[in-house]
Amino acid sequence: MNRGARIKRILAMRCDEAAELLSQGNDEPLAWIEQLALRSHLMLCRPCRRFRQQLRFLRAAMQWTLSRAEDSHATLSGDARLRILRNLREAGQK
Amino acid sequence: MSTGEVPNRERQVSPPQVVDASQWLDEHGNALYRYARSRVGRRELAEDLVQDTFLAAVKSREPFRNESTVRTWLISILRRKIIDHHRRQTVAADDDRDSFRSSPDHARFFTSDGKWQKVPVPWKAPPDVLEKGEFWIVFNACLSKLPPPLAKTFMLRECVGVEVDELRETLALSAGNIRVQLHRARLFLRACLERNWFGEELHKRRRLP
Repeated sequence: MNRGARIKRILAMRCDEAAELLSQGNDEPLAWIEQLALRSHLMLCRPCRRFRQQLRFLRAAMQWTLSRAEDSHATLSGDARLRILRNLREAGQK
Repeated sequence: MSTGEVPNRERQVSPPQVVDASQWLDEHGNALYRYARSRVGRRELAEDLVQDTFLAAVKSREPFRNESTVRTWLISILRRKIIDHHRRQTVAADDDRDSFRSSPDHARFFTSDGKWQKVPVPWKAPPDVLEKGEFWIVFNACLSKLPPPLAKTFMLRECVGVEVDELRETLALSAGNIRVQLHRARLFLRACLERNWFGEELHKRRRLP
């Protein structure tokens, strides 16, 4: 892409493209040109800034519920424990 | 040292024994269970996955490497079991397009010239929103309304922390298709929460004088 086309792309980013990059940024590092284009779009676009905030919220909510469950006091039931031990013994005898 | 205790040196070179495994069950069983339970939901399934993990650990020809603890080693086996479980779940084939703009859901969320169909509204959440039981009822209902193939990809990504590269192998989809699926899942989830939780709060506020 030549310089003119890049600048044009930066100025022309649409909300659907910005939203896609915001989502992708949750999973992978973005190329610098994408980051630049996205940042410029976000400066001018309040709805997409909200979308970014809401994606952060979704991620945080998922993390919250996972760590909550991991810190819980849930335990393996006695039955499950016995079953696992029995199967381990059988596996050990083979 | 009590009689019969295996010297440390020997334990490191010998393959894991059943006696180790039952000790592991005591020491790590509950932690593994919580890890599994929080990621697969159902109790029976979580118990089975924990059992499979211990069986795999006992059979493993390569005992855990010294640089990792038994716990992280077991968790890594369990994580693999959880991924395999999700992978085996058969779901209806999803749209395999790897460009969001050409996917049928594009029109649901965006106009043809790329603007938001329904502009995201600000979410005014009290700081303790995550502590509220009703919020999680709505959140889980929204999750369960995701189309199954999207839910599968999204949960693997968000709950099991599988990276895009690994997702590509696990689900045998293109990286582009995975990106589109994750994006659609987030758009659906976001819209559902706005409609059923944040939107409602907004509505209440609007009705106030």
